[in-house]
Order: sequence, then C-alpha cells, then structure tokens
Amino acid sequence: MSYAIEMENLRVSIFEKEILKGINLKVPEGTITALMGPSGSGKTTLLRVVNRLIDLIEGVKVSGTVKVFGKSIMDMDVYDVRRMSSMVFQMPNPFPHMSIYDNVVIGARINGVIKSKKEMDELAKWALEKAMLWDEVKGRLKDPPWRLSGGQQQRLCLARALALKPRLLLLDEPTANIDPVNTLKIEEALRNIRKEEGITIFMVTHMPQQAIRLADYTVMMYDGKVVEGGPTEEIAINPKHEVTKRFLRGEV
Amino acid sequence: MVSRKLVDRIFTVSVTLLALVAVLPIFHIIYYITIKGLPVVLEGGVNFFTQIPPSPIRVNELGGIAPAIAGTLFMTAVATVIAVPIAVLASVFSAEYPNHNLTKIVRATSRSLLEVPTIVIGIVVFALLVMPFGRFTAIAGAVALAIVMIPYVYTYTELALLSVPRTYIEAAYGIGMKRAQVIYMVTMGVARRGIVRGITIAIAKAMGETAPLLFTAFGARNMIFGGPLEPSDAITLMIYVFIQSPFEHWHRIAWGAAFLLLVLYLTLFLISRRLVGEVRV
Ligand SMILES: Nc1ncnc2c1ncn2[C@@H]1O[C@H](COP(=O)(O)OP(=O)(O)OP(=O)(O)O)[C@@H](O)[C@H]1O
Ligand SMILES: [Mg+2]
Repeated sequence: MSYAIEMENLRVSIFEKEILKGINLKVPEGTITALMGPSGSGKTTLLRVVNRLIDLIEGVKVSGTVKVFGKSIMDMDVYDVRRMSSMVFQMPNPFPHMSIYDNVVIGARINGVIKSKKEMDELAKWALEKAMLWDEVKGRLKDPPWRLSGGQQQRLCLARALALKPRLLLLDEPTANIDPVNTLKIEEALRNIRKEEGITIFMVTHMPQQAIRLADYTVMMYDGKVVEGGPTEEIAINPKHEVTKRFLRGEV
Repeated sequence: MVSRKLVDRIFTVSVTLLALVAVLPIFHIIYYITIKGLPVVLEGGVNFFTQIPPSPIRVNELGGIAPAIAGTLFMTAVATVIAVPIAVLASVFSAEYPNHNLTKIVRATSRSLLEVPTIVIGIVVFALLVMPFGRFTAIAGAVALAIVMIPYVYTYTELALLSVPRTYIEAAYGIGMKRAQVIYMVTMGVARRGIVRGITIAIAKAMGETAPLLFTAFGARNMIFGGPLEPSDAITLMIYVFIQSPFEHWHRIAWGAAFLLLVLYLTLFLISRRLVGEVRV
C-alpha cells in the first residue's frame, strides 16, 4: 500500500512546551481518514505540520520525519507542499475582499499555471461543482462571499482548496460551525471528491458519527500522542483504548 | 419601580442632550461658513476659481483665489505622493515585525510626530530646504505637509493591518502564497478600507494646515502658480493672511475660501468612501 502521509516519531514543541509527543502515523493513499481526539490533544497542530503552516508559529520546533506521498516535506519547497495538500479550516474563512469567483481561482492565479480566462472559468466551475456550491452561486460569482450563508462559505473554502488540484485535502473540523443540512452536503462532496478525483482526505472531526459516515480509517489522539488507529468500524465497534471508549460515549 | 423608570428616562435624555451638545458646534461651524462663504463664491462665479485676488485698494473687486486653489492642490498632491508610500511601507514592516527594534523606533517617532506642533515641522523644513537654497518653494511646502501626513497614514494603516484576522492570513499561506503576496493580495486587501481612511484623514489634515506652510511655501498670490520651485499660496495661508487684514473685501474672500475648503473636505470623504468597496470580515 502506498501512503499519502507517513509520520515517524514526530515531535512538535512551541516555546519548550511539547505538544506532539512522538507521533507515528500512516494515512493510506486514496482514503478518507478521520482524526479524532479530545480538545487540546494536538489535532490541529498535527494537521498543520502536514502542509507546514506550522512554520508560521513563533517558537516552534519540529523533529522526526514527515513524508507526503513518499517525499519528506522538509526537503520540498514549502509552497509546493502547501499546494499539494490544501486546507479547509474550522471557521469558514473565504477572503472577504474578493468575489466568490476570485476566491476560487486565486490559488491558480498566483501559481501562474493557468492563464486564459476560459481555463479560469472552467476551473472555477469545476471546483464549485465538486464543492456542491455551483448551482447556488453560478448567477452571482461577482458577489462578495459574506453574502453567502456560513455553510455556503465553508463550501466556497472547499472549492478554493480544490482549485489548487491537490493530491491531499486537509480539513480541520470543517463542519464544526455548520448546520446539519450543510454538514451533510459537505460530507457528500467529500465522498465524491475521493471517489471521482482520487484525492486523499485527512480530516479532523469531533463527531464520531461523522467519522462513521465518512471515514475508511480513524485515528485517535490523546495528549499529543496517537492512542489507536485502524478501520473506522473496528474502532467504533471495538475500541481498545479507554480514551476512545469515553470519546465514543461523548464523555471527553 | 417608578423611580427606576424615571432614572432610565433621565439618563436617556441627558445622554441625547450631551450628544447634541457635542455635535452642535460642528453644525454651527458648517452653517456659519456656508452663510458667510457661499454668497461670496456665487457672486464671484467662475472668476472666483480662475482669477488672482484683488489688491487691497481695489475694494470693489472680488477677483478669485486661483493661486490658493492651485497651491493647495499641488502641495497636497505632492505631499500625498511622498507620504503614502513611505508610511504604508513602514506600517507593513511594523505589522510584519511587531517586535523588531526598527518597529519600535518607527512607532515612537510617529507618535512624537503626531504631538509636535506642526509649526515646528515647518521650521525644520525651513532649515533644511529653504535656507540652503535661499528661497521659499512649493516643494518645501509639500515636504512639510508630507511630514504632517506620514504619522497619520502610518498609524491608521498599521492598525488596519494588525486587525486583519489571522485566519485569512493562514488561508493565504495555505494556498501557497509567498509572504509578499500574502501582504499585498490579502492583508492589505482586507484592510483596504482602514488604509484608505488613514490616507483620507491625512489628506484632509494636509489641506487644512497653515503653520507648516508659513516658512516653506510662504504664499504668493500675484500669479496663479509659479511652479514647484517658486513660493506658493494655499487656501489656508490665504485665509490666514486675509482675515487678519483690515480690508473688508479681503475678509469676504477669506470666507469664500473657507467655504471652498469645506466643500473640498466633503468631496474628499465622499470620494474615498465610494472608491473602495466594503469588506465585511
Ligand atoms: N501557537 C501556540 N502556542 C502555544 N501553544 C499552542 C499553540 N497552538 C496550540 N497550542 C497548544 O497545543 C495544544 C494542542 O492544540 P491543538 O489546537 O492542536 O489541539 P486540538 O486537538 O486541535 O484541539 P481542539 O479540538 O480544541 O481544536 C494545546 O494545549 C494548545 O494550547
Ligand atoms: Mg483544533
């Protein structure tokens, strides 16, 4: 099996405070893998290591190896890493000063690979369709994003991430602030993206139900460590670790 | 419980009254200038904008304030061109490196510049740009105005940049933007309203300044505009001189000029509001 993400003894500390304490983790290519764990266990930090957004934090130290599609991310150009593994954040954060259209194509525009207006339009349509937002915004692509509902904004962020044509999609509790209808839409979009585009999806979620609905594999974190991981059904039916059991019962 | 309601009422009424007291002077000024100035501008007509002012002895002539208008527009424009890039670059640096020593120096300098009486700025520019060349120039006036503007643009821009929510900056890096692209395309974009507000206030400030021009542009109103290397008039300078003079018709011209300045302010603020689209974060 080939892996989208491989981590070996990953340690992260911020100003001497250890946050990730020796993570070993493999995310198989082409899967949806969920990352769960109590608040403060280091899920967001782990996700931000993968696309090296962690570099932005002051006082951070990272050690161990992290490979994305077999290549060490420390040896790669940081901008290539980020384009290859694009991210959707917990709070919808479309750029408020850009139109819906510009929000989607901005990534392609700065990379300069796509030049013609026609190709841009096609890319925007493709990404918005994949994010299941096209029908709702096709008549108002020039509108600012704050005219959209929160759920629509989050799907716009998904489209922005997809328009980079990433091989890996990182999502940090993408539905935590979103109503149930939009949550199901985003889940359906993710399922299709994996199936039709073969993009590997690695997502943080705090809802066990969401992991069960979506994820092939689930990884459980606690206090900066991975406590268990495997096929989602196994974890859901037969959790081994005490933290996982309590998490599934909604106690942590 | 009646007393509680009563207290509430008294509070509301007094707050409203105090607010009225606070804004009343502004409306009074606008009203007064309009009453005194508008008739003068109407009487002068096009000439008021194209002619030079009459000499003190020609008491029946109104003439115009063209030298003042030209000087104010020229010097404010040049000052803006000098001040905005410097101040915006400085604020970008400060926002990116908030703890850098240079940032601390720039911030302290800017803060003290805001406190220095602007006439002092005029004297400094006099020593640097007027004395060595032995002449008052429009350029020296513009430089003095630029120094007045810089701390305003800097302070507003830095504040606007720093208040851009972190999450947009992360998103920008997340799609592979380089640092310069993040600053230029996202941070400054999200902050554009605040930046333009700072520039607008600075321009308004520059247009309304008299003191920095006294020893730099000095004032010259016997021709419309002599060029950047000649002394220059400004609307404020002219008002300052004319209103102190003993001549009745010069007083009237000063009121007309004051009204024009007021109109320039309103246009400036309206244009700047229109120019940049709203950004709701
Ligand atoms: N920039 C930072 N500076 C210092 N400590 C940080 C920083 N970012 C995160 N931490 C700490 O690292 C730990 C893990 O944080 P992280 O955000 O990764 O947790 P999480 O699992 O995503 O939690 P949640 O479910 O609440 O989002 C926390 O104790 C947090 O306080
Ligand atoms: Mg988190």
